Amino acid sequence: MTRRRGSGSSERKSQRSIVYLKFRRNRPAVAGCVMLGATLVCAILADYVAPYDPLKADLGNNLAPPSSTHILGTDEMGRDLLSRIIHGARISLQLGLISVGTALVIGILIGAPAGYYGGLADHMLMGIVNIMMAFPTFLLAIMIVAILGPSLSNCMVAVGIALIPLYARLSRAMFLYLRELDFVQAARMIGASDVRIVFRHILPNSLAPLIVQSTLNIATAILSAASLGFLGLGAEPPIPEWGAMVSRGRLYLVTAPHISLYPGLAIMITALSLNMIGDGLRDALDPRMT
Amino acid sequence: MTIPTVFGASLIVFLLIRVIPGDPAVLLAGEDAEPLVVESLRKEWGLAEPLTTQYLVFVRNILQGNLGVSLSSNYPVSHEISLRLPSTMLLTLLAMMIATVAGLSIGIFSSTRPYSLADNFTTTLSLVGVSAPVFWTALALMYLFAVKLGWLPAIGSGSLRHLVLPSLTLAAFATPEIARQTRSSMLEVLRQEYIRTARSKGLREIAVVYRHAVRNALIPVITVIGFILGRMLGGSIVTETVFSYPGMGKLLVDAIFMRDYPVIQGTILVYSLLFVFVNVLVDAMYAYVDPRIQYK
Amino acid sequence: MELTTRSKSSLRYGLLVAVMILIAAGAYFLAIPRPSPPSPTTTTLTTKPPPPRVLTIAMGTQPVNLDTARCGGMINLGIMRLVSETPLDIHYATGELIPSLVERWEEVPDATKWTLYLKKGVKFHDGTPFNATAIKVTFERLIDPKTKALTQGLWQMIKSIDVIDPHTAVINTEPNAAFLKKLNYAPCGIVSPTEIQKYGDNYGLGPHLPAGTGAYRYAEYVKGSHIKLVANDQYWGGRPQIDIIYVKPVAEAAARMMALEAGEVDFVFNAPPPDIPRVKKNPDLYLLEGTPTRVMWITLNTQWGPLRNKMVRQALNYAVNKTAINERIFKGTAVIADCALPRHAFGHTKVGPYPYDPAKAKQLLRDAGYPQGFEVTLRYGIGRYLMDAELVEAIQSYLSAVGLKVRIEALEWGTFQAKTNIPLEQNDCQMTFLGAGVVQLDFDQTMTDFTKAFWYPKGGHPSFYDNPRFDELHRLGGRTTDIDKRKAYYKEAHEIFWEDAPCIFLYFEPQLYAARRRAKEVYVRHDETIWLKQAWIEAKSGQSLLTVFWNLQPILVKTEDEAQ
Repeated sequence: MTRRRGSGSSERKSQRSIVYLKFRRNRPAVAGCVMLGATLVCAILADYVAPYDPLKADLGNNLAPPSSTHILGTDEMGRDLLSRIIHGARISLQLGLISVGTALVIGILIGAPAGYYGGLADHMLMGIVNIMMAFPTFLLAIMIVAILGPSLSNCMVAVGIALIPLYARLSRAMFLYLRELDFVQAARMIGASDVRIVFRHILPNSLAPLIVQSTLNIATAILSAASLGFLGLGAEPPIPEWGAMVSRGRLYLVTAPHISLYPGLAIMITALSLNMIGDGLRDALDPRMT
Repeated sequence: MTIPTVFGASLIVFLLIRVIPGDPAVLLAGEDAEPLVVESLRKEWGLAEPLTTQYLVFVRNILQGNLGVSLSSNYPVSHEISLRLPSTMLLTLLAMMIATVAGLSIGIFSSTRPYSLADNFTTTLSLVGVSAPVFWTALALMYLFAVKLGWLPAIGSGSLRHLVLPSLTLAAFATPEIARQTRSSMLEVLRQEYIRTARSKGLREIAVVYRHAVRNALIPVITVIGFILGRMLGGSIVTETVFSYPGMGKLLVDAIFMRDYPVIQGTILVYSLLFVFVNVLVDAMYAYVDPRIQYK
Repeated sequence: MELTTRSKSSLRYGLLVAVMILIAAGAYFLAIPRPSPPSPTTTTLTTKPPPPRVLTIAMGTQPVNLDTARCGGMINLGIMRLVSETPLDIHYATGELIPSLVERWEEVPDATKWTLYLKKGVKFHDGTPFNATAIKVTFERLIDPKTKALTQGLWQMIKSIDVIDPHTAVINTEPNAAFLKKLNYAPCGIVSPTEIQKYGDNYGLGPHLPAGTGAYRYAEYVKGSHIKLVANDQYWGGRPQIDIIYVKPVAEAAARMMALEAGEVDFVFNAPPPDIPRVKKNPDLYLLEGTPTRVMWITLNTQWGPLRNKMVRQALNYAVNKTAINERIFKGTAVIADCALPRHAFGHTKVGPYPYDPAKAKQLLRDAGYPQGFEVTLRYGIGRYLMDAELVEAIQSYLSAVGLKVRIEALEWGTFQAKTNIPLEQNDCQMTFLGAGVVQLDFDQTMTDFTKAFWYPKGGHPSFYDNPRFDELHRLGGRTTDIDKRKAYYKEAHEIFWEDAPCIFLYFEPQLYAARRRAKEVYVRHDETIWLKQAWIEAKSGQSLLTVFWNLQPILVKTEDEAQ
């Protein structure tokens, strides 16, 4: 946790550039950024980047291996695999961002008061969180999908809810820690309101671990959502969700392995890039490493 | 701490069924069950009572070993689970052992040659292992060893051979994490004063590493192992499905598709109990290994 | 990671809690009462018994229960009829009726009275003797609405069953020329009257394992894992040459094929067409191809929304490219349906197929008042039919091309049946992917499903088709044994049926099965049931030490009892 003396902006700026430089030197992290950038481009500009319509079936040309017309081949319905993977990027990133985003917000809303106020609030709020942590994350997600029924949006909800305990614990720990710091005590003594303290002092200083954690959690969220899709608990056909695509390709594993291989590779590359960035950020923000 | 968590988990499982739209008695009895059956189930689980009484009845039933009756097989849920729980545990434990041994070795090895080529290589490989989705690793292993090479069976259970691919799959994502944590905590420890002291005493490097460093580096690694066991329980669900391995994970997934709510309820409960138990074990091991234990 | 210091007492506490939980968990699971405790094996100590000859079968679905009257799916029934035999059989090669539990029979010209002479000296697996009473109990149970037999409508023409003497039964029916062929149909597997009395409504629903007269009896039934059948030493047809049959449900065709290739499984139902070339090239495997008999279609609920309109239904038929489906999904092994019956069935008339004409489809939709198409749900049960997921997606894409918005609903087979086989008021089926086997190879059977008298719960179809002339033709055709008259009735019926299009007509499902060469004389009959009466296993010569080790069974993973 970086200790900062006060919140002088010049201090912060040089701190930021130190972090930035450290990050830049970390080669895997930079590679990760490039890969993630490519994925983002696919996600945002899918309609322009993809050579074909991902939903247009052409049975006459199904199970085609990679060729000059279809760079990654076609799937069992004759749809261009590359286009489906590109559009799948949008779905996966949406899943990741939305679920992590909601988990972040709700997690902080639970963990922050628990850490800051302590006492009864702490016990009650964290009680719920502890119970949720009695289930492995993926199991929690499956439970929720089992209740709500399989669909893309339910996947988002399920993965989001499953991630809440992580954020709650993290934010609680940070608030607990930062609360005791001198400058916060000082602010309290001069009568600053809690809200002001939270927003001006605590939150900005807790950004670092939250960002690192979130980057890593987006990777987890994408993997979990893909697993749900693989099990058939996610999007219905013909939505090009990566996990479901891998699952469908199983029938053709021997004759046309590209159908399972490439979407799986896409999942891996996305998760990998996020993990590399997350690691890079963690190392960059760690004051102990030079 | 554990007891309230266990009760809390059972509470969530309890609420699970009641949250689904529809009459819980019909959900638990099956949609085309006779009205008599539905009524007797209603009495058995106290579904007409207020929620608190229901919960007490629920807990009482569980403690008596009654987890309900599977809608699809008509066998008691506890029986179905008891048939498959050993398989899942065997798989998970085996995978954990492989991962621990491999992870620790790789981690220790990397830490003794930090930033070398080997180290960087294993670090990158570790990242890949963590990022690959479990089902994809499973399929890749299945394709390579079962289909192309034919060395190992693709699906099912019944002999030691059937355990190899599923446990390797699970170990594949656990090993890198353990290796990473081992490496970083070893690096941490190796920088410490007392290591330098040991070295300056003239002890051989190996003795230094193993006698002093590893012991102390293990502590955070054990915590990671705790986390990983949890994720492994989750990953085993997918792995069992891919390999058609008849464990609890497959039972759960089948039950979800069949809307077999008693089984869903039962398996989730057992999973969470397993998870809690594992965490307790890890905590205990942790306390045991920590050399800072004060003797009162 | 914060390191906390703990005192020795809290360490002790932690360990104590862990140990207590361990003991509690162990005691808990040991105390759970098991419904079927393993019976002690009696082995003679003098001679070592030879290893059992085992046949392992993998199929896409699994029986939801063990009652042939209340379990659906021909593949499931095919396994169950190994235990629960039907009065008659059909020959696996010629398809002709052959005696089974019924030695010989007599019919009368007006097709209303069927005298069955039963085999003597046959016993059920539970010891009850097989006699005419068992026949009576079985059929009365099928007709009884309280039983809720899935095929109840099929047996409605039975008026009464008379027991003349212990080995002679007479079934009185309304005039029905094709009645005898029904006696081969698995749902009328003869049940033990003792068990019906003992279990009543619960018969076949578990946990007891029903008794039958067949060559095999149930030893185990673990949902989701396997069914274990064990040879019946006292079988009236002579003890079968296979000792144990394992039936494993493996929903994915790819996994089934992998298991077959790896040698874990000896026989696979519904081998997927993409894998056929591989099977042919593999010296250890062989392919079994049956004549495509089962017509596959997307049944349209004629009482729901836009599907009420005949023009809409016809439009949907024009919208689908069946040739492409046959070639690309089935690699040409299917036969495109030109009517509701295969060529070798009685009543076949060439009335179709609807050509592929998306422009005409769009035109018809416009004329019907749906220029923008409409939303509809297409439902199917996983694992039962070949290439189901691909087929359904192909249909979705063809229908989308003409403007419909199709949502696919994939359900597990048992759940799917539960949602399909219910009366109109509770039924929410819109489009349903189904097949209709023509076990009796007679249009009478197919028509029965579509007549209004046999809407659910009597049997029937999620199409809820209602055409009085069609119903009348069904009555007329079933009543007479005059072949020419029947042909004429059925021709007219077919024309009406095709034009009304209560389904999107597709193809006849290829019957593809793959087996390992060591499984000999395994046949598949015209009604898609497996015929194992002559089957035997070519034994392996010996086992090397390595194979023995490799096949070690860890105690924990054992889910099967010893062979008895």
